Amino acid sequence: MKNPCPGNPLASSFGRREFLSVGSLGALGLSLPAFLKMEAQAAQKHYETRDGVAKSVIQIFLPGGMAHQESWDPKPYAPSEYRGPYGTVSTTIKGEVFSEKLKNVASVADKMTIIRSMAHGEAAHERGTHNMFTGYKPSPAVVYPSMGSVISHELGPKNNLPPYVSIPNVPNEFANSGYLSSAHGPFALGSNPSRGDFKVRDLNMPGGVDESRFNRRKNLLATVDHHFRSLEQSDALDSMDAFYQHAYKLISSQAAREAFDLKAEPEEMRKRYGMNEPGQRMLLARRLVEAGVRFVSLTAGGWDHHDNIKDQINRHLPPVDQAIASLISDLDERGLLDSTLVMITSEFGRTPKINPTGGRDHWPRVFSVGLAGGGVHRGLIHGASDALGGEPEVDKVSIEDLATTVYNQLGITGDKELMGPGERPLEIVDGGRVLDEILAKKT
Amino acid sequence: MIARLTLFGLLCLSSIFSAKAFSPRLDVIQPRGGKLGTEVAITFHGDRLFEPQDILFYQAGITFKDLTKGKDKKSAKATFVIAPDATLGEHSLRLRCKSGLTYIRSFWVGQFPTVDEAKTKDNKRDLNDSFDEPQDVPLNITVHGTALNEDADYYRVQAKKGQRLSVEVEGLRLGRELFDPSIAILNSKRFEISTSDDLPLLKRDCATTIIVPEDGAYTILIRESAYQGKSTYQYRLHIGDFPRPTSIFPPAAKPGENIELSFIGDATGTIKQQVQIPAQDFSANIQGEIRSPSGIPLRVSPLAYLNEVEPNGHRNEAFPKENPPAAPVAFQGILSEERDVDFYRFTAKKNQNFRIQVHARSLRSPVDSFIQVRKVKDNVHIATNDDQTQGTPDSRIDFKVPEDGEYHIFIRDQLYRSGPDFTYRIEIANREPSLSLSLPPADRNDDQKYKMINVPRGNRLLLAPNIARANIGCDVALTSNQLPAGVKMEAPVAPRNTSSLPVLFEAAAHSPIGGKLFNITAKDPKDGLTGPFQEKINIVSVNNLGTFVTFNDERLAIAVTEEVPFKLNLSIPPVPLVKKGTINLKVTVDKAEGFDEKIRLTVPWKPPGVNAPNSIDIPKGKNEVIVTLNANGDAPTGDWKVAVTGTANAPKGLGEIRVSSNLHSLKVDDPFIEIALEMAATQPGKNTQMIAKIEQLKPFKGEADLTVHALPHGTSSSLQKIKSDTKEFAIPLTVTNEARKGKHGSIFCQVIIKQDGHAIAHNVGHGGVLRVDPPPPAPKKKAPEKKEIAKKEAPKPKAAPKKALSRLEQLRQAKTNEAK
Repeated sequence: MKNPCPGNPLASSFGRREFLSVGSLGALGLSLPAFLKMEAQAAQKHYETRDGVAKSVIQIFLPGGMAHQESWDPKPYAPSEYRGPYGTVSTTIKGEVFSEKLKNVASVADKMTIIRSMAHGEAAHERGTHNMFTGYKPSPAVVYPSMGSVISHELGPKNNLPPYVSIPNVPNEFANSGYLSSAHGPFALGSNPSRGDFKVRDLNMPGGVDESRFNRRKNLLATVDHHFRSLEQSDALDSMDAFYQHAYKLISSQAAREAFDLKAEPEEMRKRYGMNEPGQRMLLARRLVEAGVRFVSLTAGGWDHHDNIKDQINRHLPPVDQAIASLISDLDERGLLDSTLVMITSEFGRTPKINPTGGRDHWPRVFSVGLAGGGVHRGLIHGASDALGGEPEVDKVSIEDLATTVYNQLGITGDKELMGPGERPLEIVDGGRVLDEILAKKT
Repeated sequence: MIARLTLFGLLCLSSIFSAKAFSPRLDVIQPRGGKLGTEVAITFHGDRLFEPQDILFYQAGITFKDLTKGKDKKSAKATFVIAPDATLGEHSLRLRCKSGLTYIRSFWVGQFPTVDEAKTKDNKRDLNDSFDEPQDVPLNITVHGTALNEDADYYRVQAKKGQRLSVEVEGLRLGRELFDPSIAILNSKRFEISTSDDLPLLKRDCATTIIVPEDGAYTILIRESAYQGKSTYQYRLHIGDFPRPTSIFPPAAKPGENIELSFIGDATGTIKQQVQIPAQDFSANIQGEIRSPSGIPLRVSPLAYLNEVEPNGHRNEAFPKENPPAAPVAFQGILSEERDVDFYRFTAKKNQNFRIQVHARSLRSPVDSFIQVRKVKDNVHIATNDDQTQGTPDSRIDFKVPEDGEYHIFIRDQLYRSGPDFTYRIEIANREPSLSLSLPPADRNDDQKYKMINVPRGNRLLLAPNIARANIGCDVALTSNQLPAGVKMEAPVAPRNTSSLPVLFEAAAHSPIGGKLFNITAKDPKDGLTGPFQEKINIVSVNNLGTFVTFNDERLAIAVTEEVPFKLNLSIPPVPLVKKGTINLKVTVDKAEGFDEKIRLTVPWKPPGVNAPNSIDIPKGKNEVIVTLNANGDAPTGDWKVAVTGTANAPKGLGEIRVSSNLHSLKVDDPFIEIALEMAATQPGKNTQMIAKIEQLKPFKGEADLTVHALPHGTSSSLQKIKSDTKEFAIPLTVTNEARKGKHGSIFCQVIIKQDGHAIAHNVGHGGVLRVDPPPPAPKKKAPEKKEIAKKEAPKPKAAPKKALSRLEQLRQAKTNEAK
C-alpha cells in the first residue's frame, strides 16, 4: 500500500486502466492541467470551520523583539549581567513574578496564560516577524498568508466590518494575504488613533458628495468595471471588487463606522488605556472586536534594545503595560474576554547576557508570549526557560503549536489545506498541535 | 578623618555649583577647507562652545589665531594660518574649551583658491542647477558646495584642445556622512566625455582626468550618486589641469631608498619621478607646481623585494627564472594583461613560520586579490586565499613551511580583472610579535563617544583600553614620558590572560587647565616589546556595511579641564571576592553645594570572570550606593584594581559630566566551600529535606549562614548555620499544600562566611532540584489501612534525624518497607 503524498496530485492512487481512461478523456477535451487541478482539489485536506470558543483575536505585536527577561520571564536569581537592571513584581498568579515594569499586567495575570518556552530559532528581524505573523518559517518559494488573512479567508466578515484590521498601518510585509487573494489583506486605518485628529482614511463620503451622488458614481464605476472585467481576468480585479464591496458596506453602515470612532469612548476610558499610542490603539482594538472584527493586529513600541535596555524599557514598557492591563480587564468587565483571544507576541527574545553597551541582542532560542481570553486558562504559566533565560527547560512550544492553538480556538483546523500557488494545497499550519494544557475551554 | 576627607573632596570640587557648561560639542568646521599659504576665517559649529582656549592639530602645517567664542554657545571663531608647505588633504583637529576637548573634526587643505557654490541671496536656492545655466568657474579652483536632494550642480570651465582637464571630489572623505558623490565631464552638446562614481583610490569619492578634445566650454556635473543628497552632504570639488594618477609602481619601498616611482593612470600617461623614501608609510604625490589634490599611499618596509618581469603567467615561467630568493621576501607587480596571473618562486626552510600578506586594496589598488601557494616539487597545493584581511579584500595566508625547498605563489584578481594600475605587493614575512592598545567603542553608532580624555581638576577619569597582542602572549605595562602638568597615570600591569586594562588619570586640584597630544606606550615588561596606545576612530561607519572613513594616530589627546561638581569615592571591604561569589562595593559621592543630579555609575573595567550590573544610579538626594560584583566559577584568582565611573547631566542642558572614582584593590580568590545539592522529592503539604554535601576547600572561623534560593511557590526554608567541618547537611524544607507541582531546578544556596566582620558571599550548589509530585490517588474503601499507613509514616521522621537520607536511600528504604 503506497502512502499518497498529500499535495502531490501524481501520487494519487489510480491504476493503469484508469490512467488510460483519463488520458482518453484528455484527448476529448479535459486538459491535463484541468484534471490535475481537479485531483488536487479532491486531495486537499478539508475540515469544516467550527463554532470557535474565540470569536475574535487581538494581536498585540511588539516589533523589534522584546526582552523576555525584562517582561514576562525575569531571572531574579541570575547574576547581574544576566538578570538585567530591573527587579520583579508579584503577580496575581501565586508565586509567580513578572518584571517590575509590568506591574499593571501583573495585576491581571490571573486572567492570562503566559508561555515562557516559545522558540523558533530565527534571529533576524524579518524572519522572526514572518514566523510570528504566519506560523511558518520563511520560504523563497511561497508567500504565506498572515494569521489575520487566513482567519479572514476562513471566517469572512461580520457586521459589515472588515474581518482583518491593522492599527494603524500594515505593520510589515508578512501581515498581508500571501498566496491568498489580496481581498483578505488587512484593512489599515492609515492614521494613528493617539492623534487628536484621528480619522480613519476612506471611511466617509468625500467632501461635497451626498448619498445619491455617491450611488451614481458607484454605478458608473460598475459599468467601467464590467467592461474592464470582460477584457481581463485577474485576482487583483476580484480583490478590488471585494474591497469596493467592503468599502460600500462600511460607508453605508452607521454602526460599522462608529466602531472606528474613538471619540465615542468616554474620556475616562481613554485615559484608563493611556493617552498614548499603545493605549489608544488597544482601546480601538477593543471597540473593533466588540463591533465584530475578527482579527485586529496592532503594534506598540519599539523593542530592538541593543543598547541601554534599562532606559529603553523604562521608556517603552510602562504605557504598553498600562494599556494591556486595561484591555484585559476591560474585555473581562464587558464579558468579552472569553470570546476574545488577546495575544501579546514579539519577534523573538533577547540574549541572556547584557552586552557591553548595556543592551541585549537577538535571541530566538527561547522567549515568552502572553495570552488572555479565547478559552485559554486564567492564571497559568506554561513552560519555563532555564535559570539564565537561554533555553526552554520544560514544555518547549513551537510557533506551529501556537498557531494551531489560536486557529483551533477560532474553530479553524490548522491541518486544513488552502490552495497555494501553482494549485498546490498547503496546510494552514504545517505540523503543530493544539496546546491542550493551556486551554480551559477547547473548541 | 571622614570629615577631613569630605572637606578635601569638596575643596577639589567647585565648592558652590554654578551653572557651567561641560562636554563641549563640535559638529563641523566651516568652511571645510582652505588654500595653502592663506589665512582663512573659521567658524566652529556645535554646542556648549564656551571659553574656547586651544586647537589641537594632528598634522603640522596649520596654526591659528584670534580664537574667540561666537555669538552664542553654538559657535566659536578663529583664523587658520595655512603654511605654504602644509600637507595637502585632511588635517584633523580637536577644539579645546575650558571644559574639555571636543570630538575630532577635519579641515582640508588644497592648492587652489576656493569659491562657494552660487546661491540666491536668501541662500535658499542653488543658481547652478541646470546645464543651461551653470556656474562659470576658472580652471584650478576648488568649489565648496552641497549636494542636496534631487540636486545636480553644474560648473562650466573653458579649456583648450590637448590640455589636461582633471576633476576630483572630497565628499565622503570630509567625514560627515556616508555621502557617495558622482561626477561627469560634459561637452558643450551635453555628451559625457568622462564620468566617475567610485574610485578604488578614493573609496566612494571620485576623480577623473581627460585630454581636452577641442577648444571650448566643458561642464562638470556633480551630484549624489542616487540623487539622495542633503544639506550635510558637502563637497570640495577640485577642477583644473592637475595630474590625477590612480596608482603607483612600485607600491612599496625600503626606507631611505631613492627610487623612480611611476604614477600610473593620468590622462597624459605614466609620469615618472625620482623619490627619496622616508622612514614610514606616506602619501606619494607628484612633485611640481601643480600636484594632485590627494596622494597615493605608499608602503615603507625594510623587507627585500623583487619587481616582476613578464612573462610570468605560468608556473613554468615563475619569476625569477633563476636563483629564487629565500623568504622572507616581497614580490611586486601589476596585473596588466587580460586575465593576468602572476607566478613567483621562492625558497623556504622547514618549520619557518610566515605570514603571506597581499597589499593591494589597502594601498588603494583596484586589485581584489586571490593567491595560492604550491610546492614546486610535485606541484603540491599548500594553501589558497581570497579575502582574509579585515576591512579589505586583500588575501592572507599563515604559512608554516612543511619542508625545505622551493615554492610557487601566484596572484590574480578574483574576477580576472586587470589594467595598467592593478598594482600589488605580496609580502612573505616572519610573523613578528606586536602590541597595541586602543579604546573600544562606547556606542555602536557614535565611535567618538568617550574617546576624549578630559580630566577635571582635582578629579579622575578611568579608561579601559583593549589590548591587541599579535604573535605574543605577554603582560602589558603602560608608560608615558610626558603628561599634562599635574596629571598622573595609574595603570596596573595587565597579566597575559587579560585583553584590556584599567588606566586612571588623576589631575591635581591646582593643575593648570590645558591639553596636548601625548604618546602613551604599552610595553612587555619582560622582553621589552613596545607598542602604541592608538587613537583609532571610525569617523564614518554603517553597522553592517563597514567603515568608510577612519582616523588613526599614535597620540592621545589629554586635557585638564575646570572643576566639576562631584567626586566619586570607592571603598571595598578587605575580604576577597570568591569564585561564584559576590562582593558589595560602596560608592560615595561628594557633591558641590547646589548640585544634586542623578549620577549613573558603571564599572568600566572588570577583572576576567568578574561581572557587574551594566549601570547603577545614585538618585537625586542620595550620596551613596552599593554596587555588587560577582565572579563566575572560572574567574582567575589574583589581585586586581577596579574603579567606577559616574556620568551626570548638568542641569539646563549644559552637558554631561563624567568622572571616575579611585582605583581600589580587589582580590579574587578560591571559595571556602563548595556544595552539591541532592534532589529532593515530596508532595504538597509534606515537609522534606534537601541534602547538601559540603566540600570544605579552606577552613573558616565560626559559623556560616546558609540560605536556600529559587525555591518554588509554596515551599520555603529558614536560615541555617554550618561550620567549617560540616560535611553533610540536611536543609529542612517547609512544603505547604499550595506548593507548585513539578520538577523545579535552578535551586541554589547562598553561604555567607564572616571574616573580621565582613561578609564573603558564596553562591553555591547550583542546579538543586526539588520535585513536588501530585499526591497519589487515595486507595478506595480501605480507609482503616490508610490510617495505619499514616500512623506508620508519622513516627519515621522523628527517628530519621540520625542520618539524613538521600533521595536514593529514601527510595531504597521505601522498597525495603514495601517488601516487608
